[in-house]
Amino acid sequence: MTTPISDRDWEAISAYLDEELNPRERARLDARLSASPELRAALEDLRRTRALLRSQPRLHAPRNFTLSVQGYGRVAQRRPTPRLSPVFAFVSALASFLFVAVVAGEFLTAGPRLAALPMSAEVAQETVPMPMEAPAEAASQADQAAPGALEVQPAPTVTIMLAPEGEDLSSKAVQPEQVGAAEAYPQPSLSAPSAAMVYPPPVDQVQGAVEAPLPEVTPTLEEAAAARSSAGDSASPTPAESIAQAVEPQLAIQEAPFEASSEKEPPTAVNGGFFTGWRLVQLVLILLALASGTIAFFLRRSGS
Amino acid sequence: LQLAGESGMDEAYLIQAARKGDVEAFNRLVLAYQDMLYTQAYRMLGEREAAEDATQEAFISAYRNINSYRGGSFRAWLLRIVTNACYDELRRRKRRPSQPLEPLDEDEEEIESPGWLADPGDSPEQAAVRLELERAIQHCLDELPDEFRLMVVMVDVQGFDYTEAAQATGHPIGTVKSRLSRARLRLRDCLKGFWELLPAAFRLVNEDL
Repeated sequence: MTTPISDRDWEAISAYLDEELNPRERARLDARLSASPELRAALEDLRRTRALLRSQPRLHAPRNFTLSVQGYGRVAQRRPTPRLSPVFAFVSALASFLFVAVVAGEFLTAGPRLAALPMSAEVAQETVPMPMEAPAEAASQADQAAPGALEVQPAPTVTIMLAPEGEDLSSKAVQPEQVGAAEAYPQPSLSAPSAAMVYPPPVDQVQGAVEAPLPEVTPTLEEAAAARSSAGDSASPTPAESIAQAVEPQLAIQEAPFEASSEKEPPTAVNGGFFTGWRLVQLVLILLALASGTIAFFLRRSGS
Repeated sequence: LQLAGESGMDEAYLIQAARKGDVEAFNRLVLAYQDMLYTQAYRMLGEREAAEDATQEAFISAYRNINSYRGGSFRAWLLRIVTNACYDELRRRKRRPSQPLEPLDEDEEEIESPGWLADPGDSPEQAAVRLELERAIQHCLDELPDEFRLMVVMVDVQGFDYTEAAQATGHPIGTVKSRLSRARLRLRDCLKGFWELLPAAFRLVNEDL
């Protein structure tokens, strides 16, 4: 019955009926069909079968298969909430943990160079000679000088500029001060970070300690500038003015970021890049912790 | 058919909305495709209840996995899902062969069939012939190996071309072609006796299809 026709031929005939043969295959089969009555019979057989199958109407669904809005709508709406809320909560927790880790890490890495938190007072007294001379005032001066030191830091450049311009007198008059300041300040500035290390936990002290120096910094510098200018006055008035002018803009520049940034900022400036990195990481982490925590909270609340 | 109205932009819009969890939008797709999926399930399983279960299961699965639809023929994607549901059911049956495979040969089929077979223009005699034909076809389909049946239902019952059938079954076009041809050959043999019994007028009508 089907003996003369191979599986391949049946395949070709079947595809021929579906018009799935390419033009070449089709032309070849057409030629064979006209030559072979068996193939024509086979084609007719399959055409009938195919027509019979295709005569069947598509069945009607006996019922609707729509999904209930109550059952699936809520599932769909709830989905984002249970999904996202824990994610944000986790991010918040992770950021908090990292914040603590970074703060701890800052302590540990700062440890060799800076005194540990309880030691800072003793160290400041032992290692800083200048405050020792006037313990009562120096202690407060040292603290105040710490932020002041960084304000003054540009001053040396001023001094250098001044030195060539001014006479021997002025350079001599100014230099001791500057040297004194330069010698005195670096050491307080060492204790300053350790004081800064103390700051984060006791917030009250931070505000007290940091806000206090701010107004005093300016006078200190202005005094220094005034001292210098007065010293310069005796020598030559012109450089004195230029110094005052040179110092003041720098002061303004220094003050601007100082005020703009938070109370935590002094240490950043004190130790430059290293602490900027730490602070930045800490700030980002704590902000991330707070933000994601808040989002998680509201997501959960809106979900319930 | 009614699918034509849901094709194109409208369908793309509904799919997009369903992705965002819009059940109403998805239900419009369900209404557009439920006959097709049910037909597929019924032809594959040969039984109304199992076909309903597979269809419902497929739509739920489609809704949950709507994000895994990545363009192309949406109906082919749906048919693939319902085909998987049917294969699950067929595997279940093979594990429990005590379940009757062909309950349709009994009287209960007569209660179900007229719903879709009734044609207002049919005489009672024609209606009886239609019913006979339908039962014969389903019987012969049930005799086929699952993968052959799948192809012939895709192409001859659903009217898919080879490309879409390949997409819906996950087989290459060559496989579609060869399985379809073998399935048709078996069906030809199975239906041969029945064909001779059909009234000539009925045969002519069907020849034109």
